[in-house]
Amino acid sequence: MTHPGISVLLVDDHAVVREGYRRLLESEADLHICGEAADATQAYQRFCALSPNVVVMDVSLPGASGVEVTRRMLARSSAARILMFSVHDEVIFVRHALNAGALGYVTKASAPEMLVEAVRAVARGTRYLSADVIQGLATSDALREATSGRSLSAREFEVLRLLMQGYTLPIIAEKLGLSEKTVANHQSVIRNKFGANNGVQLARMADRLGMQFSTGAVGFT
Amino acid sequence: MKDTSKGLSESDSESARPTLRALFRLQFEPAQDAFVLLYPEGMVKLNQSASEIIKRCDGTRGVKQLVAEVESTFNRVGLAHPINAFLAEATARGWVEWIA
Repeated sequence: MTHPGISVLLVDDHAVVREGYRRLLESEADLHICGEAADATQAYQRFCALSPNVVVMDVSLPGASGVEVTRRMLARSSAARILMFSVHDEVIFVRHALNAGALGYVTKASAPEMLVEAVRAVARGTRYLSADVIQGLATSDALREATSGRSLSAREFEVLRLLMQGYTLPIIAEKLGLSEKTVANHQSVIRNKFGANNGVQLARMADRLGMQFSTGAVGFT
Repeated sequence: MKDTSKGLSESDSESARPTLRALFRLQFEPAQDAFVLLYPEGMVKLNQSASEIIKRCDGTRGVKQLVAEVESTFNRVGLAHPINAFLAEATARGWVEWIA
C-alpha cells in the first residue's frame, strides 16, 4: 500500500543537524518537511500552525525539553504522532519519552535509513524503537523496578536530567524558567526519593540506574 | 591565524585564561575508571580528552597554550576547534570561568 505524502515537523536546536535530516527525509518521495523548529516554544507554535503528520523531536532542547513539549502537543491533540530522535539511549530517557506519549524513539547513532523507516511507521500509528533502544529496554527489568518506585514528576525528571549533565542550580533555574529556590526544592525532593544524602551520591545512584551522567565529550577521543 | 578563542564570549581576548570555578574539583574516580568533576550539585564523568582540557584550566594558560599542550599529549594537530567547543560548553554549564 502506498501512503499519501507524510508531512514532517523537524525539531532540533542545531540548524546544521536539521539541514542534514531535511535532505535525508526529502530524498524520499513520500516524505516532506513542512516546518522546522529550534526550541520548545517554536516547536509547539509550529505544531499548532502546521498540524504535521509526524513530529521528529530532539530530546534535548534549550528551555523545556522535547519530552515536555511532547506532552504539551499531546494535550492539545491526542492524535499527534511524535518520534523522539536523540543522542540519549539511556533507558530512563526512553521511558519518560514513551510515558509522555511519544510513539517512537530512535537514537542518533542509528543508520539514516532507520529514521526514514521510523517516520513512516509512526505516521501509520505504529510504535517504532531503534534496535539499541529495544536492547536497552529488554535488559532493564531491574532498572525498571528500581526507577518506578521513585515516581519522579516530569519537572523533577527535568531537573535530574540537567543535574546529570553537569549544570549548576542557577543555570538549571534559568533554563527552566524557575527560581533557584524552586529548583533547590526539586533537587531536595529528588535526593529524598533516591535516598541520597548529597549530589555526588545522587549522581552515583542515578548512574547505576542507567541514567549515565554526561561524559563532557569532546570529539577527538 | 584565526583567534582560537572565537565563540567564547568570556574569552574574547587571546590572553584570557580559563580556570575551574571555585566549587568544582577534578579527581580520578576508580569506580568509574575515569576523571570526574565534583561539584556541590553532583558529579560529571569526563572522557579522556575532556579531562586533559579541564586539568589545564587552572588560570595559568591561555587557550593557545592549552591547545598546544593537548595537541602534544594526543600527538595530533588541528584540535583548536573541538577544544574551543568544549570550553564554550564548560563555560555555559558553569564549570569554567575566565581570567582576563
